[in-house]
Amino acid sequence: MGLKIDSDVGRFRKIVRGRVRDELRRFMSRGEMIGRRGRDLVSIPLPRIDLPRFIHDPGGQQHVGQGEGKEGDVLAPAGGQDGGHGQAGNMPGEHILEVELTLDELAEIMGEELGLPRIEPRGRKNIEEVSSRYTGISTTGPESLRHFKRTYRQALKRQIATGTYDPARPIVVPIREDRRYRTFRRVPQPRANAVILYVMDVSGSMGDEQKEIVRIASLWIDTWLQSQYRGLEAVYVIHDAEAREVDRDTFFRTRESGGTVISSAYRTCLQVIAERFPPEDWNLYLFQFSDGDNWSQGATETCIELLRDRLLPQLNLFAYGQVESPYGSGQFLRDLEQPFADDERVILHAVEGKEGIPDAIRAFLATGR
Amino acid sequence: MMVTLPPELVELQRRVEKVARSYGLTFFPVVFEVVDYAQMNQLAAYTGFPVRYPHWRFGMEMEQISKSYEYGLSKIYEMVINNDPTYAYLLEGNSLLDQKLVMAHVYGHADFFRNNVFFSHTNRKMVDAAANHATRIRRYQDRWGIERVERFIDDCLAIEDLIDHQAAFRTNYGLQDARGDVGPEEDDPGDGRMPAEEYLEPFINPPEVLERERRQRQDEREARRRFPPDPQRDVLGFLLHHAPLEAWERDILGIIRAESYYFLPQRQTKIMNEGWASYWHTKMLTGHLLEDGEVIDYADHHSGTTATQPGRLNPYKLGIELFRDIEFRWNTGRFGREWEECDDMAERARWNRPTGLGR
Repeated sequence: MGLKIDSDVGRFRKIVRGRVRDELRRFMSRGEMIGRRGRDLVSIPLPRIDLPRFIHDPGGQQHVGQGEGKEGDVLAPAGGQDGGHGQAGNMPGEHILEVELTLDELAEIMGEELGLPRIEPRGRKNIEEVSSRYTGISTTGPESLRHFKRTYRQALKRQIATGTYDPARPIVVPIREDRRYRTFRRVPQPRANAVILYVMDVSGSMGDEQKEIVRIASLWIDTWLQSQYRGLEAVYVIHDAEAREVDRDTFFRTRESGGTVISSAYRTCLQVIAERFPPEDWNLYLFQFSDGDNWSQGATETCIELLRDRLLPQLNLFAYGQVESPYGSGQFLRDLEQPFADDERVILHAVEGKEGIPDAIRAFLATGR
Repeated sequence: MMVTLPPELVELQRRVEKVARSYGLTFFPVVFEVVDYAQMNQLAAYTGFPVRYPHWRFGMEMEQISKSYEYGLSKIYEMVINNDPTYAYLLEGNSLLDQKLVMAHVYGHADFFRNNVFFSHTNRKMVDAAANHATRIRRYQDRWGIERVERFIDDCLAIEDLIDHQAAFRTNYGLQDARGDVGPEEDDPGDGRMPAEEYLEPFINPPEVLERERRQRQDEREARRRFPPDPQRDVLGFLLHHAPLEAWERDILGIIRAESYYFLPQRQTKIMNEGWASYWHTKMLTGHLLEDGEVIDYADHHSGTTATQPGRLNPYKLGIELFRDIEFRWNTGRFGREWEECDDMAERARWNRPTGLGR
C-alpha cells in the first residue's frame, strides 16, 4: 500500500546510504561498526544523522534546594547519566541512530567506494543446483495443490461434451477425473560456490591488535564475497608450529605461544581442499594473515614450493596480508615477493595498522578474480 | 484515508459524547477516523497530521515507529489533533472496549485543547495550514531543487525550539521593532585630518592612513552597537525579520516557526493534558460506560497506561494524581487560612469539611 510518507522514507534511506558511504573508511578501520549482525541485515550505529539542536547541559542544571549559590561553592556534580556508572542511563542525548542495511546493500556501497570490480564467473566452477518451479499441470497430486480453475474448466468441458450441462441451471460438479493439480518442474541452475580459507598465524608474536585487524578485514572480505557468491563457506585455519582447522570463534580468540611454521598451515589447507572442496566445483580463496615470521629460511622455501606447485593451481586468489607487529620480522612478505611478483593470482600486501584496512581490502579484491 | 466510521463506533461516540457533555466538558466537534497500523504510524511520524511538508526527518520517524511496532515494543492506540474540528484516529482492529476507552480519553483532550490557556493562541485550522505548508514547500522544491530546500529546512529545524515559550502570556505577542542602537552618528570626531599646507597634504595626511583610521573608528562603533537592543527569545521571529533571506527561505522559516508555535503548548502541557484526559476517561468509563464484563480488561489497560517505570516520568500517572489530589483537597476543605494555620497533625489527617468544591 502506498503511503504519502513513503517518499520521505525513501529520502531518509538515501541520506543514510550516503552517510554510510562517506564514513565507510572510518567504519572499515574500526570494529564497532557492525552493531548486530543478523542473517542478512547489519545494524549500523550512525552518529550525527539526526538534526543538530541545542540541548541543556545536564551537568549545569540548577536543582531544588540548591539556592542561589555563590562563586566557589563546591557541590556534588549533578550526576549526568553517562554510561559506565553501572546503571543504564535513559538520557536521549547521545545522537546515535541505528540504521539497518542489508548485507547486499552494504557490499554494494563498499564496492562503489573502493572501486571493486565484480567477480567474473570462472570456468566451470559451478555446481548444478536444482530449483523447483510450479509450472506444470497434472491429473494427480495432493489436494493442497489442486488447481481450482483448471478443475472447474475440465468439469465444464466434460459436462458440455456429455450433454449434462444446462445453461438455465449452470451447476458444474467436478468428479474425480476432472481434478487437475499443479506440479513442479525441476530446473537445474548453475550456482557459483566459493570457499574462503582464512589462515592466521597465532604464534606468540601476534598480539591482540594484530588479530583485531584480521578480524575486521575478514569481516569485510566476507561481506564482499558473500555478495558475489550465493553459497559462500569459510574455513578457518590457525597455526603456530602446527596447524589445525578451527571454528570462527576459536580462530579469533586463540593465542598460542609456539613458534611459526607456515608450511604446516598450507598442508592443512591442501588437506581441507582435497577432502571437502574439490576445485572443479568450488572457487577457492585463501587469505593468509601473519606478522611475517617463519621458522627458518628452509621452511620458507618449503612454503614457496607448496604454494607454487600445489596450492596456487587450485586457487582463484591467494592473498597474503602482513600485519605489522613489534615482534615480527616481516621477512615472509619479502620472501614471497620474488617468486610471485608476476603471478596475478597472488596479492601481497602489508597492512599498516587499522587505518590500512580499507587499502588492504582494495588490494585484495581489486583484481576481480 | 477516510473510512466511514462503522455503525457500532458511531453509536459508541454518541454515548461517550453525551456523558462528556453531562460532566460539562466542552469541545470543538470531534471527528473520529479508523485507520490501520501503517496509516497510524504515518500519522504518528507526521505528529498527527494527515499531510506534512516533504522532509526526510518524517521518514526517519516512520522507520523508527514502524520498527518499534513490528518488534512489538510499542503500539499507538490513538492520536488526537488540536484543531477545529478535533480529529482523532482509532486503530483498526482494536477491541470495542479499547475504542471506548480511547474515545473517552480523546474527549478529555478535546476539552483541554479548547479551554486551556496555553492553547488559546494556537491555530485551530492547523490541519489545513499544514497541508498548505506542504504545498508551498513542494512548490519551492520544484523551483529550487530538493536538496537546496531540504538543506534550508534542516537549518531551520535545528533551531526550531528557539521561540518565545511564554508567548501565550504576553500581551504584545509579536515582535518589537528591533532596530539596533547604533549610537549617535553625529559625534563624528572629524576625519582625523591634521591641518597642513596643501603641498604637504599627501605627506602629513596620507590618504591610506586616513582611510585606515576611518575604518578603525567605524569598527569601534560597530562593536558598541547592540542589536537587537534587548535580548529576544523568539530567535526564529528575529531571523524572520532581519536575516538576509530570499523570499522562499523566509516563507519556509515562517512555516517552521508557525508549526513550532503550534506544537509548543503540547510539550508544555504534556502532564496536565494527559492527566486531564486520563482523569476523564476513568470518570466516564467507571461511572457510566463500562459493561460488567469489561471491567477487568479496562482495569488492566488503565493500570498499564498509568504504570510508572523506575527512572521514567509517566505523564499520565503524575497528571491524574495531581488532578485527583486537587479534587480531594477542595472536596474536603483542605485549603484556606484555617487549614494552613492548623498545626495539629492528627486533626489535619482527619480534616473533612464537606465543601464539595473539588469539581
